[in-house]
Amino acid sequence: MRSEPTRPYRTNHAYHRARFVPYLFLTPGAVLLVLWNYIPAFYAIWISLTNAAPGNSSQFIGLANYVHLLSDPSFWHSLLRSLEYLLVVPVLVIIPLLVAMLMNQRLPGIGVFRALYFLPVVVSMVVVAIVFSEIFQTIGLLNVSLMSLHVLKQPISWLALPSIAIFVVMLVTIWKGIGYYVIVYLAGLQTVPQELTDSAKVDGANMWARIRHVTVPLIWPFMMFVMIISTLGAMQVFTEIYVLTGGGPLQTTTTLLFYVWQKTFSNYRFGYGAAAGEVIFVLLVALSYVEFRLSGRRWTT
Amino acid sequence: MARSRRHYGTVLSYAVMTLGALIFVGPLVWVVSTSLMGPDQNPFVIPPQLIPHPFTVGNYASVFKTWPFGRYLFNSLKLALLSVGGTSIISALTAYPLARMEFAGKRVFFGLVIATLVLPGEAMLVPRYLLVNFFGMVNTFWGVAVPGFFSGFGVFLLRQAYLTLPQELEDAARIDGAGELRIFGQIETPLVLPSLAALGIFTFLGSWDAFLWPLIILNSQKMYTAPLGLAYFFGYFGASWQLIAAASIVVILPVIIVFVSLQRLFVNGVTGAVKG
Repeated sequence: MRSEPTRPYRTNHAYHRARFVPYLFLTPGAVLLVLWNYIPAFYAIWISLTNAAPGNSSQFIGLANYVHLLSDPSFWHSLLRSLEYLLVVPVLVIIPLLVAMLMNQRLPGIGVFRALYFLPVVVSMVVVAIVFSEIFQTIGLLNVSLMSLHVLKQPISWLALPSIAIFVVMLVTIWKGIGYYVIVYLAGLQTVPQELTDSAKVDGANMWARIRHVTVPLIWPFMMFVMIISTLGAMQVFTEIYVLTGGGPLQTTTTLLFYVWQKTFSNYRFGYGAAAGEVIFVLLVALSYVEFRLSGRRWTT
Repeated sequence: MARSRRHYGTVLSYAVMTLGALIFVGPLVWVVSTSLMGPDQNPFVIPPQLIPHPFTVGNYASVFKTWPFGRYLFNSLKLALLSVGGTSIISALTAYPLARMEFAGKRVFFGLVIATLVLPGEAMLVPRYLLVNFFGMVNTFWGVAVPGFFSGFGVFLLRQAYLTLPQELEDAARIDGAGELRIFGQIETPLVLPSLAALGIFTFLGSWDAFLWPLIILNSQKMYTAPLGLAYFFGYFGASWQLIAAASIVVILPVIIVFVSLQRLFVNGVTGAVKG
């Protein structure tokens, strides 16, 4: 997928610019890069070893935050919720691929459908979450519809049921996310030569075989890209939870990031929040590593 | 036989695509329809009405008159323009030497840039907040925007664009006596404008949608962005769904307009980001 554009030829001929020129260009970006990415990454470790809070002079307390963290059952719950949330990843890898294959046909009016499917991507997440909250609340569109169809006798409080609420939140993430990945896959499918699928068809391969042996191997790098990006997205889910459930019911929608936010900006325990943030950090690094390893592999059948 | 089967496939494709369109657009149509209802009309009627009868635009007036959504939109716009400007300039300045110059430390620097792609700011909420606080930028738009000025994605996207330019262009400009800044600003950068525009649109969209970070940094109501204001009013007036629906439409209308008018650039942006 990394098709490096070929460089016409090297720059190191004839003209020699002053040595400092590239660094002059780089300085503003480099300063911001270090200041807002690399300093915070290391600063976070230091904060997590202190009892920092607004208005106190923070003191070094060693690993106390981490000890406390590991003995807090609600931390473990939130970690589990974050891992559970990764369920959206396979959905976001597969459904957009199917939609993109449908969209990759030459049919009149297909451009309109593409635009419509992309619409949720540009709609603010707050709005999406509010709409779904109006659909799934007790006197909401879904219950009213199901009751008028006589599927339900009593309304179900979807967002108040600990076993269901998180799936409603996931549905919001998926609904808003699909359009973006469809566009990604459409770009990928355009690299699959039509002759290849045609000749497979002539050879008598059915649709499933064509997908498995022709399409998937060729767009495998795109599937890996979608997997990595949607995993990062799943670990960063916040707005949906904030609007739909506020982390409830019974903390069943409190993910790790939501936990960090609560501890840091509701309870104002910066040191403790930073320690929990380190867990997100480690988790992201670990997941990215596993997925990069996986993406290096080829699809074999 | 074969022909009728193909026909069958086309009909099925349209059927599935229409169903999909209903799933993706239906809820938004429902919001528009609800926003046109008076307070005593029921938004949850089955089947939903496309245009409610009677209909009113009174909710939209209330959103601006009784609620300060004019201000929230203005705040969001200011913040988005600040982000787009900062990100575009920093990305271009950083990507240009990475693509067109040789210098010591280039590989290491590029590695540091790429590493930021997998380390989202959400994992660094606390230290970044404390840094913003240290610089006295809490409750300012600068505090929201500046930490995002450096974008690994932006540098990557523009580097790919600068790489495609022919060396002859630069050589010719140099023979004509153009200096480094002139070559960068007047010769090469105008040629990567499509990528720059795609980056701009993405940054605009990201800034308009941003929630968690502004929620942390902006703590006075008059600084709220449109999404923060909407979530705030939803928390207090969630029951008046007709009003909230109108406010929701007001919040998403600017991006929908940007999207509809710049759709092609948009799709190119997504595609460019993957192909890079």
